[in-house]
Amino acid sequence: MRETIELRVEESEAWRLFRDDEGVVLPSGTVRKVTLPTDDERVSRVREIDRTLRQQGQLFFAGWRILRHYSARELKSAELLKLGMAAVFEPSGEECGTEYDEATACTLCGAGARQVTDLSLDVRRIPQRADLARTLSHEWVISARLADLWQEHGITGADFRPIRGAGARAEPVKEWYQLVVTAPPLDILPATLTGNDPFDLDEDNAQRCPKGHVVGLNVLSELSLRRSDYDGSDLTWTRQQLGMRSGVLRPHPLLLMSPKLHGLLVELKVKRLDIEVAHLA
Amino acid sequence: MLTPTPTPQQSQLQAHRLANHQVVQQARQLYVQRLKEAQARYPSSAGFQEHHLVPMYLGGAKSGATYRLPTAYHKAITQAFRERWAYGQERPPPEKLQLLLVQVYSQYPIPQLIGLQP
Ligand SMILES: [Zn+2]
Repeated sequence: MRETIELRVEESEAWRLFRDDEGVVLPSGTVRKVTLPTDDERVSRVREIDRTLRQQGQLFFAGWRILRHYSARELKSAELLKLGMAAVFEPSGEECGTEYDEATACTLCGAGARQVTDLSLDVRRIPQRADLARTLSHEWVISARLADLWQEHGITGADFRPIRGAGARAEPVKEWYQLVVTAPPLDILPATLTGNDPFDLDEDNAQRCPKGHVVGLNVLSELSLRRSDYDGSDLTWTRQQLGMRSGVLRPHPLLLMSPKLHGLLVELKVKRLDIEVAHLA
Repeated sequence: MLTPTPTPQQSQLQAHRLANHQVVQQARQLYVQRLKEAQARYPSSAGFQEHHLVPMYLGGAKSGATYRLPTAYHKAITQAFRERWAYGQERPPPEKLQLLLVQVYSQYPIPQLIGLQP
């Protein structure tokens, strides 16, 4: 596995660490996208510069992303994989009339609000070339085409629920389903690194639920999961959640898949997925 | 009549007001310049759009403060946010969100907040 980190650096501050010809200046001319191997000696300098500038009320970098590149063999030998969806859209279900019972949510972290109606969405806003996508609030949708193929191939751990268009009397749509997980969840083990970003591990636990529902804003390492929780389903998920309740954003579990499901998604050329190896221990 | 000599406090207040006035004037000039650039970059974007001061993808409330902005300017602000923080990335922690908002709005002032009609 080769690991790189992508940073969105303020162009006016990029000189502090990067050569003029490093990275790509984005169209506005004010942000530079730089990708470094995570073992590059300058990665630790990012932390120092970021701290110094923050103290002056300034940004060095804002956005970041860790990219893990695997060989075909590494992917093939994985026992379980993380299934991330890069096709994201809004408005979210809540904005389209989907009801949640907030009384079931944790008063500290907001996780666990139960969806009590069918998912309502403006389906025209779902990225049409994706077969798997999610709303900003992490409601997962699957194309009817892909759902049929999953059923044909006997994919376990998943269920498909109707999606209605926005509006009180909207009928279920034919092209999409809400993807729900029926498999029991897996514990995220402490070996998994979580935090605000790779340079800020949230040492004062501001983004972690004291009751353990939310383990941080982001997972920063590969996932390490409790083996004894895994029942062998092709689709499953984590018990603990990531993220924050804020506006329409909600804490959310992470989706996991078996090598069989991964193989099927590769064979079917399903696009815009963010796949990583997860470890059972 | 002699002009009364201001007390040190009065002088300080006056200097502060002058500095504020200069900041606002600079922001107004910047808005006019950025609007012109945005209209050149998005020539077919006529009309106005509502802009959430804290964009919803960064965790802003749907019912949060909005400002009516020229569509081209709204597109430029959206680009300034999304280049810094990709759409769909988990929201930033509160301190980083503050810095991000300050960074974007110091480059793209909200006209209503500096006494201008959009
Ligand atoms: Zn909680």
